[in-house]
Amino acid sequence: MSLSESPKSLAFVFRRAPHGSLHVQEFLDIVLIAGAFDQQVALYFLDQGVQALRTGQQPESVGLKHIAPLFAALELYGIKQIYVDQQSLACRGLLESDLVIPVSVESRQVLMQRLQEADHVFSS
Amino acid sequence: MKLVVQINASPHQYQATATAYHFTVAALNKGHQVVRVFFYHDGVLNALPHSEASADETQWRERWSSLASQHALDLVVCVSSAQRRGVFQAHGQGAEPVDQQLAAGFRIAGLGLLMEAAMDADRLVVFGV
Repeated sequence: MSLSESPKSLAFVFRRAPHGSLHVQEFLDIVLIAGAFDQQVALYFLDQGVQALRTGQQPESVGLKHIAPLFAALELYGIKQIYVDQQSLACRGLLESDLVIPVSVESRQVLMQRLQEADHVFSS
Repeated sequence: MKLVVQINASPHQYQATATAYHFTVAALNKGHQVVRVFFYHDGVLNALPHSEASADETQWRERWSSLASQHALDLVVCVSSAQRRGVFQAHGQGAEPVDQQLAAGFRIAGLGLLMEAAMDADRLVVFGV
């Protein structure tokens, strides 16, 4: 392995709500490492995963870490491909304007096609 | 084929470790290369050196240690996940070297080793909740 190898396309699939467990917070650490390794990183938010991107969260009030601001840092790591499932937003009554960062909203069918093109799919 | 295995769940609460173990053994027996087994989230609890399941249950810690010595398998425990869960004592009086605090065959390292393995491997296979 050397860093001069061509970057791999790495997909990260978020499907969990952000605060009920540590998964999302620790999963984000892998995303940031992938960005630091200059890989082609794409994030996919499906099902309850879309909750992690909601504005107006106040997890500090119950002693939990506020991870939503970390998503804003993704751009600094060169991570710009952020896909959100249209259906998952709609069935939770969420709009794109309810999310903390700009995203690409796509149908689940389109997301699944993109996922199949990834070299590796990380999930948590 | 070059594989990297990631385990995210604790060894006894969930079946994930059992499935990952059997997958790893099967892959090795088929002649595939397992570049690394990376323990993340509660998966780091696999490396606890003093875990003892009841006599009629599988000792997953021993299974991993023995597989590591048979196949020179690289069992890597994520440092930040492990530290958060008290798997080892990082510093302070009387702290042993970190890798010696883990079950045999495991070592502590950062997420960079997961990424490095993923970049090298044909497939990443993730087990656990």
